[in-house]
Amino acid sequence: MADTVMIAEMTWTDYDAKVRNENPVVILPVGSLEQHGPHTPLATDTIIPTAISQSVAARIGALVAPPIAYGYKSQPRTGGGNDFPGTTSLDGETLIRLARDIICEFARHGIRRMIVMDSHYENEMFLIEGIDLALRDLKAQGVDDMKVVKVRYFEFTSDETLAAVFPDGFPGWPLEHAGVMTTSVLLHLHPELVHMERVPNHPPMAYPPYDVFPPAPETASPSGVLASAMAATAEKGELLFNEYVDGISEAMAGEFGIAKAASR
Amino acid sequence: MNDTVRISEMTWTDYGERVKDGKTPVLLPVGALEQHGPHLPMNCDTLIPTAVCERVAEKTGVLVAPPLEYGYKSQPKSGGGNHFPGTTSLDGQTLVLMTRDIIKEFARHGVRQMAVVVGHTENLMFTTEACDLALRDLSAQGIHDVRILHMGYWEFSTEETLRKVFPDGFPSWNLEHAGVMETSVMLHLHPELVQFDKVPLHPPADFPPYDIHPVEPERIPSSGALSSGKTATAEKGQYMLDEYVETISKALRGEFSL
Repeated sequence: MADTVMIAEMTWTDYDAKVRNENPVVILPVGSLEQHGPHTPLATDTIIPTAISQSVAARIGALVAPPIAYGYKSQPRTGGGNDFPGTTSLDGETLIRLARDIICEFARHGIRRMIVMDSHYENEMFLIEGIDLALRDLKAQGVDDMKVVKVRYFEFTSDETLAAVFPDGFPGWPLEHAGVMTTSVLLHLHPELVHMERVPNHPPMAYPPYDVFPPAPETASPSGVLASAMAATAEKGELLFNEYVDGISEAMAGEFGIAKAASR
Repeated sequence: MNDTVRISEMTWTDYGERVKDGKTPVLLPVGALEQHGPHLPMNCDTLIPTAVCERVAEKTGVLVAPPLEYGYKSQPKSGGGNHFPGTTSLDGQTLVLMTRDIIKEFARHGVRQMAVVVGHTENLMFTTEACDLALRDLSAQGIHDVRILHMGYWEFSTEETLRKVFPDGFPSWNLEHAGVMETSVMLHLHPELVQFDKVPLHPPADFPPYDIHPVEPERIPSSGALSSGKTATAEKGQYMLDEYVETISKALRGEFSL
């Protein structure tokens, strides 16, 4: 039996045995296919949570489901807006149903402990609704012992790390789209996918405290980047990535009563 | 013809005259029926944005639609969670469809400029989706000139005001559920609805950096408030409300050339 944490790489029989014998936690990464500036790939928000999920799974004995690789529509103030070529987004109801259906299917397999590992700012409320509807459906079927924890990995960044990664001040997570954090983590994970020579060097975007529909193209970031990634490095990426894996593994081991997380 | 700003109080003929040329914006307050601690009424998130909209309308000559009085499910970290008695919430798609339908109806009347003014944090992404779907539907009908502003009214607080209202430090908008801002604005608008002697005195809620489903009520303050409103005053409330009215009026004037 191959020693993989990726459900997609397992046979159904090996998967079934593991579910029956070990009551494993299943981690569902959720991302997007969305422009991330001229320097990082469209799948940035899928690659990063999948990698984190894989490392966390190795630590706490969990399994990783294939990621949801499409997300909710990019919003101007958090992702540059949905008008860029390549950005390929779902209606809210579609994402709600995707999350709900997948959770209900894992429950049917016997899974009772899940982590939804979100990476794309705009997904959050639709995932919350998908989880809520799944638990409601399961309850109506008599399944009342499913527990789902929803994680946004970047919320595990400590103040100390923020100070180290952003010595000139942290712009805030909404503006950190294709910025220092995701670019650094990708430089650590997949340097071959990062074009540092193309990193835009414009100042952070400034937005009014409201949204305009339809968005006015002249107010959008021309590069798609909301805050420059000039200061990104692979070392910062490693620091951030390790902090996410350590922090999430420890917190989830606690939530699910997993006695001791294996060391890195 | 009386000079009400409320669409609900107008005749269809007076309303039709006002909106048929597309130059009069309509504001839609979107609230919730949600517990707001032992000291505030459950319709806080509807009363406050509606009051903001009505005052903005009086200053700028726009109209106000009847508010949506039910919102998306209360979340532990921004509203205490959806397990409290009284909290009465909608599925996401219900809120999306309700908001989308109303936007399209106003467009059918001739309205071309709208603002969706949200009073309940949990609504924001569903009302965002409603704006997007309404414009897509309208576009398919050949209507391309509707513009909608979408906002949470509290985002119009300046840092100066936050320093003034929260001299000991601003907790965060999420923890401000039934806290100093809402209690202050309610003391100014509706003192008869505030039971100030019942304001909880517990420290701000402390949450881990993730969400747990189903909700674990024992990890949430039993009062339903996420931080204490004990330093709330009617004066702070008036100051904050006036700022919302002033800054939102300014935004409407700029965006809609009123």
